[in-house]
This record gives sequence, C-alpha cells and structure tokens, in this order.
Amino acid sequence: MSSHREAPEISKDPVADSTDLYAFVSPDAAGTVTLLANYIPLESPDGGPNFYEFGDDVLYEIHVDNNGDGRADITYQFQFLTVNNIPTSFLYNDGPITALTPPSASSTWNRQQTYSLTRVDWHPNGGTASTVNLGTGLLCPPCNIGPLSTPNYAALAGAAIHSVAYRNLSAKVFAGQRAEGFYVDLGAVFDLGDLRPFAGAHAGGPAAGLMNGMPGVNSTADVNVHSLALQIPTAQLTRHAPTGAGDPTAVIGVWTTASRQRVRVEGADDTGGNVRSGPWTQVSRLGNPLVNELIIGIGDKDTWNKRPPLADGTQFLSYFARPLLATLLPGLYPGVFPNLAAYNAIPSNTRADLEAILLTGIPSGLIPGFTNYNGTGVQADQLRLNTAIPAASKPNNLGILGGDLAGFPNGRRVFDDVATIELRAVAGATLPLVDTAFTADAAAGAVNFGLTTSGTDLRAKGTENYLPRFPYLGTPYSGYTNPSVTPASVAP
Amino acid sequence: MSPDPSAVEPERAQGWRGIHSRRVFLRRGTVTGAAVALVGTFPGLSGLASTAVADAPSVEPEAAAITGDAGAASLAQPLLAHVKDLGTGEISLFQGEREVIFHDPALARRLLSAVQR
Repeated sequence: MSSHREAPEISKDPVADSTDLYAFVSPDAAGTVTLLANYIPLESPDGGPNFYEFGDDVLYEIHVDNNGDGRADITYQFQFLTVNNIPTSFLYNDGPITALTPPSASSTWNRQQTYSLTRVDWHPNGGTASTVNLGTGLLCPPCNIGPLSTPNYAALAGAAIHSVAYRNLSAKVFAGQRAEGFYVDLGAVFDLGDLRPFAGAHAGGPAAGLMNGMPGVNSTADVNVHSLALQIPTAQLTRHAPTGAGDPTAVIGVWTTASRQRVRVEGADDTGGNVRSGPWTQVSRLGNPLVNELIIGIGDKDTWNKRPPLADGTQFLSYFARPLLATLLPGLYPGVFPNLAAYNAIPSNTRADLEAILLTGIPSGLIPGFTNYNGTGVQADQLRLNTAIPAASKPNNLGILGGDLAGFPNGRRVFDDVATIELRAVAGATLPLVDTAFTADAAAGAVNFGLTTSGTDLRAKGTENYLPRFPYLGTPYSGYTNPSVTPASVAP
Repeated sequence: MSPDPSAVEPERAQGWRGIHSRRVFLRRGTVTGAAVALVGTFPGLSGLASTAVADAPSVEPEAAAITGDAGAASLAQPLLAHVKDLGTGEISLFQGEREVIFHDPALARRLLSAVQR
C-alpha cells in the first residue's frame, strides 16, 4: 500500500500510521494549494461501536520545506481532544446525529472529537520563528454510521469544513473520516510481484494456472481513512512569489509525520487512565508514496519512520540508488526486462532518475517545460510540488508519465495512479531521462495493475466518489451500506 | 528550519494541550502524584546536578503528594525518571513535553536499590 502498515512497528499503531499524502494546486480554488495527510489504514466502515478516530495522544504534522534545505520551514500541527457526551451509554450515538453542535450533537452523539490547528514557522537558522494557533475546538464530523444514525452525511461533513484565519494567515481545514482514495492490487503484487494483467509472463504464473489479461483487484476499495485536509493560499507556503514555473521558489516539499510522547505509563490511576510525558518523538513519516513500503529494507523501515527527510540522502541513500524491486523484476518476469537486467548487472550503475524524482525533484531540461527541483540538490524524500504549474484541465492519472505536468511526481492528486507510475519508473521508464545510453524495455512503459482503463480514467474501482471540491476525497462509506460486505440489493 | 526530530528536546507548540494535560493530571490525583513524589524525595534530584548523595532514600509518596511540600507543590504535571546507565548515572527526567538528561551515579544506584527492596 502507499504507506499503510508499511513498517512492522507502526503497523501495530494504526492511529499514528500515515497512509497517504497529497499536495496539489487546487483545481477549483485559484491561488491555493491543497494538502491532505491520511491516517488510520483500512478502516472497515462498520467497525463499531468504537468507530475510528484520531489519537488524542498523537501530534499530527504536515511540514513544508520552501527553500530546498530538506528541513521544515512551515509546520501545521493538529492535536485532538475526544469527549464522551453520554458516558453511561455503550453506543457511539444514542439517536440521529443531525448537526455537529448542541443540542443535536451533545444529546445524541456520544463520542465527539475536536482539534486545534497550529502553524509553526521555523527560523532559517533553527528554532521557532513564530507559532500561531489558527483554531481551537474545531469540530470533526462523526464517522459515517448509517442512514439512521448519520442521515445526510455529506451535509454533516460539510459542516466540518472550517475557515480559519489569524492576521495575514488563513486556511480552509477539515479533519475526519473520508473514503480511501488510493488504489493498488495488493493481493497480486505481494504474491511474489504478480501483476494480474501480465501474470502469464511471471516466472511462476503459468505453472500456477495464471494467465495474461486478468483484471486487477483494488485492495483498498470500499474502506475509509481519516484525513487531515488543508487548503492554503500559495503565497503563505512559498518563500517568495515565484517569477514562473522555472523559478525554484515555486517548489515546495511536503511531508507528514506523527509523533508520540516518549513516555507512557499504563493504568496510572484507578480509572485506568494513562500518563504520557516527555518530548514528542516521531513514529511515522510519509513524503512520496511507497518509499518506505517498497524502497526501504524491512530492518530499517521503523528507523526510517523516526528519522527526518534529510537522513534519506545519507543513512538511506543506498536503497534509492539501487532499489531491490528493480533488481527483482527481471527475474520475476524472465525475458521481459532485458535492458534493465543489463543495467543492473553493472555494479556502479545507480538510479539517478529515482533519486531525482524522490529526493531532489526533477531538474529543468529533462522534461520539456517542467521542473520541481528543490534548487539545492539536498536529498530528502519530500512530495515536491511546483505551485506555478496550474491544475490540468484534462488530467491524466499517470501524471507526468502521461504528459500531465500537474500530476505525480509533481505533487500528487487524489486520482493519480501512483502505484503504476512508480512501478514503471522503477522498471526503467524514467531512466533514459538521466542516462541517454539506456533504452527502456517496452514493458516498462506498459506495466500496470489493471485498475484503470486508460490514463484519462479517474475512477478506479472503489474510488468513484472523489469530490470536485475540498476535501476532494469522497464521502466515507457508511457502516450500514459497507460495500465490502453488503450486497448492492440491500443498499439504500 | 525545523529541528532534527531525533534531538532530545524538540520545541513544540503546546497550544491547548498543555492546559488539557494539566487538568488530566489534577483529576488523576494522588497516584500520579506519588510517582512525582517518588523522585522528588530523593536528595539531590530536585537540583538535577548534585552527586553528593549520602543518605539512603526515604520514600513517602503519599505524604508528599497530599501535603504538597516545596517540591511537589510546583509540579503541575507528572514527573517520570528513566535511569539509563548506572555507570555514568545518566538519568532522563520527563515532564510535560520536556526531557532533561543529567548524570548522578550515586542517585542512579540509590534508585536501583529502592526498586530492589
């Protein structure tokens, strides 16, 4: 998955487990950038009575590097507070939840969450330059329970979109449950790298009775996540107003982290309450999709989660330079990737293309009319967005590989087929950008997971309900109509 | 430029969390206070730097928590100690969102002695 349960330790701490990060020029709100950071993987919509929620004991952050030094210049912090309005009830709600505020909410909605949003600006030489509390007591929506409990859920969620401002700072913000937007065929790819459409070419495919042309299965269809969503005026994220798309100041690097306090004492009082103390220590990190999932070795995954992006250029660089998946592909698909196999066979060959895409941004001159280079060459895994490139009028889910300069790896939109894009890149499709002597294998430009029909198909199965407006991820699936288990005939 | 998250004391904005944490602590009462008093009653600990600890520890957690002597009265949040290394006496103290590391080999040995009774 993009970053769902991607490391052994964080897979046991879903509340703090980042799953996906998105950053894109808002297609419907000129002059703004949208940042989405998702947490809590694979929420079953009917997971009551204790439906999913953010952790009160987790510090969620979205960081922005706007000068290419690999460090955060701006951080948005989310901290949650959960109350039981009806402590004697065992239910999430005792009646229909028709509003987020009293009297409807407090009389029927038992488990209610609010949060604070804080913007921290970091001084260029270290330390905090300013800290602004943009909002306190901001209301989250409930989870989508069902037609009796959360009628007109879209309106409820809409009421949880807040506009906050303080002096010259402003944002639109939402924090709550959303439908999962990421799509990938996990069942196949983690079965020894199978790609169902090409299973007949897999080394073990024919013997197992697999054949080419099998449709993909979206493993993350029909589940929900919890999303932190921000829409911010671009001028509040870049260090200067850029002169154009070629100006490095137009590029921002984004990543999200979750932190927990260093000490936790279980059952510290007679009510079973816990004590948490000490500084926040990072336990989860996510920039580009699939980096920790597919690039970093399992023995280093949780360490990677705890390190800053700057560590990617030092401690973890070897994983990017010669990714294991690239060395496995020729063996998994014999005869399909001969050029990649030959490239891999030379020990001194490294993947400068992947290092550029994931660690520095793509310099100008490699792709006509495009750059998201950070301007410094500092290597750090960040989702880099050139904010001066406008949203596409006819987007392609393959992003830049599909000729759409507004898509991944120029930031990431909710519908981008990042799994296919990165698979093709690892397979060598982007290597000719930096090594003109290399010819990509034909398969590198063709492999996919079989989840979309074409580049212009923005509705992979299970992601049909993206919104055209903030917060862009679809209305979460309700527990009652849980599409993963409920036959369509009984769905209202 | 943000600090390295692996640094000992990253400064973070507390916002309303500090207030909330204080309220939680006050609600939780004496048991948490006992943990505070446990370390608070060890000579030298409150000063963070003393190595001249001669007396055996005297643990009176409940009394300290309730009566609120000079040390306990100023504790708004739980204070937790982690003895990391007996040889160097490295001890981490956690309170609120802070961690303070200091070295006191004699105190570290006495804390160990206390839990081995």
